[in-house]
Amino acid sequence: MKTRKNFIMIYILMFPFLLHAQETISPEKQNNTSPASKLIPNISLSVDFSYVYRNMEQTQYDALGIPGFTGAAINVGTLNQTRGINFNYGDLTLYSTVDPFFDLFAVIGLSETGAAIEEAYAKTLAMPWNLQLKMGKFYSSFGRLNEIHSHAWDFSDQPLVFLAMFGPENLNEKGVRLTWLAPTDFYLLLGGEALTADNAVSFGSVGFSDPAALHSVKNAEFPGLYTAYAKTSFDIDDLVILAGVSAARGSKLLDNGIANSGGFGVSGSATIFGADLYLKYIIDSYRYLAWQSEFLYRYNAGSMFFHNGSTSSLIQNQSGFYTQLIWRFSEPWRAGIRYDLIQKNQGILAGAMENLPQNLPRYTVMLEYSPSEFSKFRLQYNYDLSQYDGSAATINHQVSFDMNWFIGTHGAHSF
Amino acid sequence: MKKILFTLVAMIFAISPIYGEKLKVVAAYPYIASIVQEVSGNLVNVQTLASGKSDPHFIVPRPSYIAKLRNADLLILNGGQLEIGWMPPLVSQANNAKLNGDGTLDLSFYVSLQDIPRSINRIHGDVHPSGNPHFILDPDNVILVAQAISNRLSKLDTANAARYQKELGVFIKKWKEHLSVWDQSMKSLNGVSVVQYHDLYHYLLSRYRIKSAGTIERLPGIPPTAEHLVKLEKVISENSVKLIVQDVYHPDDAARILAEKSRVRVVILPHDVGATAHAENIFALFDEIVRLMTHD
Repeated sequence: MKTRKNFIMIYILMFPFLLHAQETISPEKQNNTSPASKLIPNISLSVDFSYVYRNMEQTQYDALGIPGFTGAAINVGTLNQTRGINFNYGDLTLYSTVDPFFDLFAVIGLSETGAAIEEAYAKTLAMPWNLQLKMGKFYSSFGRLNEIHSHAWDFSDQPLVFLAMFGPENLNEKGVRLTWLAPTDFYLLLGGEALTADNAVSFGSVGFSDPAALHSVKNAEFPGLYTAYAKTSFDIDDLVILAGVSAARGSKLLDNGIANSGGFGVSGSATIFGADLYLKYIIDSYRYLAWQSEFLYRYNAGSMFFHNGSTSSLIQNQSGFYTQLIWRFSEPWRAGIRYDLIQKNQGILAGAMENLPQNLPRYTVMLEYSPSEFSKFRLQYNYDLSQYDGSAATINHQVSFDMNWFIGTHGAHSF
Repeated sequence: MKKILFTLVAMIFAISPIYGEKLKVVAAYPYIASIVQEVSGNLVNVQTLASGKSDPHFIVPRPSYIAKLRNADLLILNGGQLEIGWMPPLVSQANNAKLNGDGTLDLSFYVSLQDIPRSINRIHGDVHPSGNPHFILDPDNVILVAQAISNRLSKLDTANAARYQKELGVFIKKWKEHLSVWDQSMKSLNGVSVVQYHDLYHYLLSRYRIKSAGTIERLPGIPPTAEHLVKLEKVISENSVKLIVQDVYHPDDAARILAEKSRVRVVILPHDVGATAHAENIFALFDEIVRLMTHD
């Protein structure tokens, strides 16, 4: 119902743009552009398909998980989920200046079954003291990769630690963000966000109650999640260094079927720290070498509530990182390698250490070809030892061929 | 303690005239900074973002540029969508309200753009919808650009308006003197055919009635294929092309192969200040272009 309502809303919002978009196609109009047509927002559509082969049947793959993180079904909802052909996404992007005070930006994620607002936010243009406010639904600026759209990723999937800690959508919430650009000669950005804690993988905002109502946990209201970050950058000739530290703290509510026997709920808080480092050596206008790494550490503390009304304390100490090297060796070609590791995976339930697997790696290589700036094809191989079928370790080989195109006016990407 | 405080305050005051009072101008490309220096008589502080050695379409949007834009009073763009692939996110992240309105000067508004495509379709490659943006290579446009910059400086820094007008007059006079020399030298190329890598020298070629017989890139932004180069070889012989004009940033192997096969000269021409060692300011840029094109 919600999706359908969204879809109707989008159609109503889009209707005038669709009309104008058709008008601009005729060449006569180009030479005599009416002033009104200049007010059409920039529109672009990015479409992503992939063909995937893996050594595992779909039902087994869909049941995989990382114990201590999501248990099972970690791959459900990710890009390239299906062995065979995947329609990964169609991202419809609209943006324009609203008035002298705001820019508005929206990304509507289209799938085969409907549409959903992926991002929709306004950004201030004229705040004093180099402050900027962002309001709406958006990807958090926690870390480096989180706020980058999937069509601009270097690989066809998220780093493992992002999948394990934030799920397939990364950290995408409703709320506000305030940034301040420090008056220094080098780049120094400080920011903070107040967000909803809807991300169910690390946070969660929906309360629960056991059947006998011995324990009821209320919903976490906005803002259930706060983030803070600092990013800095400087150049050493053609070497650009960008480094950041981030923190997020929010309420963690999880209802794992407490209404049914064997089910439970978790109530507590999650704190995540991140550190990122990006080094880009610019060889010339078309070639570069880029090394990117991010480390995430998560600390969860709370209580577990069981179906029968009993409770116990829960502490989780977990960390992971990825490090990747991308080489653009000519105008159309890029190659890359990535190493992922879920390093630490410690759970202490009612004072007793859980037996969880640690040091779970994944290895990835890719080769990408872009005939122009607007289309690209990527061949990628993953060798994944991170995922478990129940308590049994699995070996997952995956080859994907990813195809991405975009049309329209698309804003430039940040560094 | 008092002494230390006094020294600190004195130091701040000593620094502030340098950074505090002068108008802070940020230029997207080096040629803009050079013209600003010519028409501002040392009254402004100018910083440049892009390097003259890079492809002007593909400048890496380094975060250090954001720090420069943060404090700017005026950002001067080439415009004509040349910066579309790198500048907008930098300006957005600079959180600098001064850059709205008169704080941004788009030079393409002050010249008439040529080669405006009749139909905009990327089947023709990555076309510039509002026309060819490499207008600065017509030396007449340098005068229009200098006037636009001078007027904007006068508007933002009214106290020095008279001085800016005077500097502009001096610059235009000097420019016209040089221009008559360049025009004289370039006469010898009237009617000659050339091949370029990208239609980067369009304004220069059309001013001196030099024909552009083809481009090494297959379509704007699309690198050449072997098949395209074979065709181009034919074009070179059919049009008796005299020169292959190559920019400093694209690989020049295709130009070298064509030159060897067709016995045509390759010139690596600077397109902006700083593109080659000799092109150190706006005058030297044109001196260098004329010298390279006319010497045999």
